[in-house]
Amino acid sequence: MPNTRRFLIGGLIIVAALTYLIYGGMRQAIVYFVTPSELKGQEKPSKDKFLRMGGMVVAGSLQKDPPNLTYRFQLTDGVELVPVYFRGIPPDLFAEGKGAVVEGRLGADGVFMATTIMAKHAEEYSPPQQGKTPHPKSFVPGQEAKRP
Amino acid sequence: MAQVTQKKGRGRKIVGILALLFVLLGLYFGLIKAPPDAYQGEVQRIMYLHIPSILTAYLSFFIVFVGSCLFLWKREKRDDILASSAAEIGVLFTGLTIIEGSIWGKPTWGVWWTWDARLTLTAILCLIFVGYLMLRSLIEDETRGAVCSAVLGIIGFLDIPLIHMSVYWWRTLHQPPSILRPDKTPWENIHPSMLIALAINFVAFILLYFYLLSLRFRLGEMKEEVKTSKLYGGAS
Repeated sequence: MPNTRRFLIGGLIIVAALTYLIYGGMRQAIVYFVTPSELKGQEKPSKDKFLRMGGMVVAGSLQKDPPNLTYRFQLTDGVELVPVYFRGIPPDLFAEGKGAVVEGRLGADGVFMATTIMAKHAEEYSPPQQGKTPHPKSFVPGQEAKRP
Repeated sequence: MAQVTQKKGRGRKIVGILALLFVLLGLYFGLIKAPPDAYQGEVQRIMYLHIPSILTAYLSFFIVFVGSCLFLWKREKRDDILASSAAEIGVLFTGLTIIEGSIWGKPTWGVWWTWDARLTLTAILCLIFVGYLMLRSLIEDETRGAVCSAVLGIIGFLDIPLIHMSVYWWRTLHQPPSILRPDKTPWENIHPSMLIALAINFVAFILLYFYLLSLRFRLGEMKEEVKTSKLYGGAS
């Protein structure tokens, strides 16, 4: 049955090539968001280019101006800080000390002008307990790539 | 022969009734018995549908994978019927997962959809199997259609490990798995009062799935029976 074998080998090669392309391609091309360190470390700052940045909202950095719907805060990956400006309605789970991914452009003054805020969420679920505020570790800087 | 069919039908009916019972029980546990999440509130209850939906879809595409391999190896019609039946229901549950995820994503993340690796790969999974079903209806020669779709079914299944590992390999908005992970037990991530609601709903989805699969498989068999009886003039 040389035909069947040829078919099998051909199929396997195609599958292997596809897997390699998807894995290799996505690993390099799909960087869903950059960290503040990566953004600051760029040789040619990507000003005015649409990008996403992910990090933790620095505790104490959030300044809200509810009448104008503007929010100013800083995102950190534990190493660098990037100030962010946002006008609009952030998601309910957006808070200080929690993870967030922002979409927008880096302004000339180094302030990230966000058009969208997304709250990053942890994989932990528990009922509310009296006198205990939940602290899900929704974003641990530099931990994304760690496998179990 | 008729007796066997009847017996099969009875087994299916039992699975169907059990599925109905577990769906009702799951609704009670998911909507009433389980507490709301401390952080997300009531919207977290979507999890009781979202996780069982995607796990059922994974199971379904695994059955497509096994059926397709068997068909390519032995060329028996029933393996093709099994694979195509499972593919149809798998698309249904993948679609449900994406819809449920969107409804959950808007209030928690703040967006209905985002192109992170996990969401993108799940959309690709859905598209591959929509393509699988289209391929079957487009190729007129049935055996050729079955062979082509079997190859696509096997390739499509390989997307599932990618979806699962995507949250570790790439930066995503989607959180890492709560259940299917070797480093932590499920009850470390999910409070037992919530885990039980999830478990009941999972059983409900699996039962419902096998009920649907059995019905769809029988339909495929009957189509085949009609075709052969027409071919040999049995039912003229």
